[in-house]
Amino acid sequence: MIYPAAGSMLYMLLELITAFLFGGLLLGLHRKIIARIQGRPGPPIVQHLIHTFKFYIKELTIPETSSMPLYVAIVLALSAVWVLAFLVGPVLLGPFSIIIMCYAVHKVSEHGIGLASGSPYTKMGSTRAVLSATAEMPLIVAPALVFFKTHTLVLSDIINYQILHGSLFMDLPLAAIATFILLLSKTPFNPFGIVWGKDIVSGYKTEHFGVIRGVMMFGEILGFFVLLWCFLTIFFGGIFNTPLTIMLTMIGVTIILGFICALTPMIAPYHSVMIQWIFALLALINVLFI
Amino acid sequence: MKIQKQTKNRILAVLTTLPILIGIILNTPLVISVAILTFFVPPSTYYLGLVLMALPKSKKEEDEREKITFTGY
Amino acid sequence: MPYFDYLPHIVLFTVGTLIGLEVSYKWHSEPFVNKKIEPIPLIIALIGGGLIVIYAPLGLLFLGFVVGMRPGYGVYETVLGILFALILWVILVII
Repeated sequence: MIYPAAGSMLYMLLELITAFLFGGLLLGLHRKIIARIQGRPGPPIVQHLIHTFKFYIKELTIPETSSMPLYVAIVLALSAVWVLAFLVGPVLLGPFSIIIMCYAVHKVSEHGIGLASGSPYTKMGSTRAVLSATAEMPLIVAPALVFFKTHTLVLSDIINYQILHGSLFMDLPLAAIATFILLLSKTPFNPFGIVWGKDIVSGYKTEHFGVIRGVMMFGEILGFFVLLWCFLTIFFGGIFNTPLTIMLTMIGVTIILGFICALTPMIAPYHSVMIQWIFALLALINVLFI
Repeated sequence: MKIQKQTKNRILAVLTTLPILIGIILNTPLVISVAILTFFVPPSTYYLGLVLMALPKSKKEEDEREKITFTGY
Repeated sequence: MPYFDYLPHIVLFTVGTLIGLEVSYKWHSEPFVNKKIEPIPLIIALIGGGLIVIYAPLGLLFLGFVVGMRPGYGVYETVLGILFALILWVILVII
């Protein structure tokens, strides 16, 4: 077998395809677990991937009220952001700050997706995206604490530090929990998912269907993979640092996320933001242990 | 008009997929590869999707498209 | 080590689940009823469980067939297949 050199285009493309398929299966598993807990048979595990491919062959209609170039471009930007985050994170083990930037830009593009189509539901969703962006405090707190502990934000150095000194979870448990809450707020059907809540139909993606929804789901699957990977690598990098262990642990974390999502109700927008802030403040207590 | 749109989408699909293929063949340096993948993967999936979307899925659908069912207002 | 070492595993598992979904809808078109263990999926699951220890991607293809069956079907078969794989793994690898 010809092995592509690390860092070559083929290498990264293959990694991208693997992450996409695996992330899709994870999200399918997540749905299956929710259904099982709620006493339904639930969709098969491939359902999320089938959905994504199905949307690729569905007709795309663009609403007349939408602002056309933005309607398509912002979705492409959303998935480009996650492709970049994936390449910088799991593939190249580059700076963590770029992933944080990608996350922030992803929030902005969520807002843009909501505004681009003229529907009131998507506008409501995009307003909530701005509101929930204020709840991303754990995203600032966790890397700051990691930096003060390890004196680096480059992911490969963080992993090396953890291999030498033990996982950061032992030193920064509260920051890890705050990051877990952040991860939870990105999974479908979560209690903090005010952005795509069913009370506003589907939130910011109400008007997006057809091919453009497929591209959006492609980005979201990659995003889920990247966030799971970041959580595991930054806080458990000492234990899980080979692809096999990381992928198996991702399945485990997805099962836990499924349990949480199935058993919690959707929280009202302001409460959702407040609870995430509480976890971020709790993480700050970790400063005392550094 | 419809055929023109399909050809336009096909051209754009080829144009957005080409840099990735060229990158694989020429083995471009790391930074350029990352840039190409970031900029061209989402549009290429989008335009490939548009091309796939417009293709008839079955013989029946192909016949349906030939028929004029609605003559307009 | 790259992630795409596991690309064959993931692709074959996905293909297996897709085949399982199609085939099991051919087998059962009736409304869902609580049912017992079926022989054919059980055999496939056991083959999958056995192959997983020898060549994992192919084993995952067969196991995926059972996992991907129509919702509600193939649950016990999946569990039995995984248990069989575990037992085989303990016997072959650990002992």
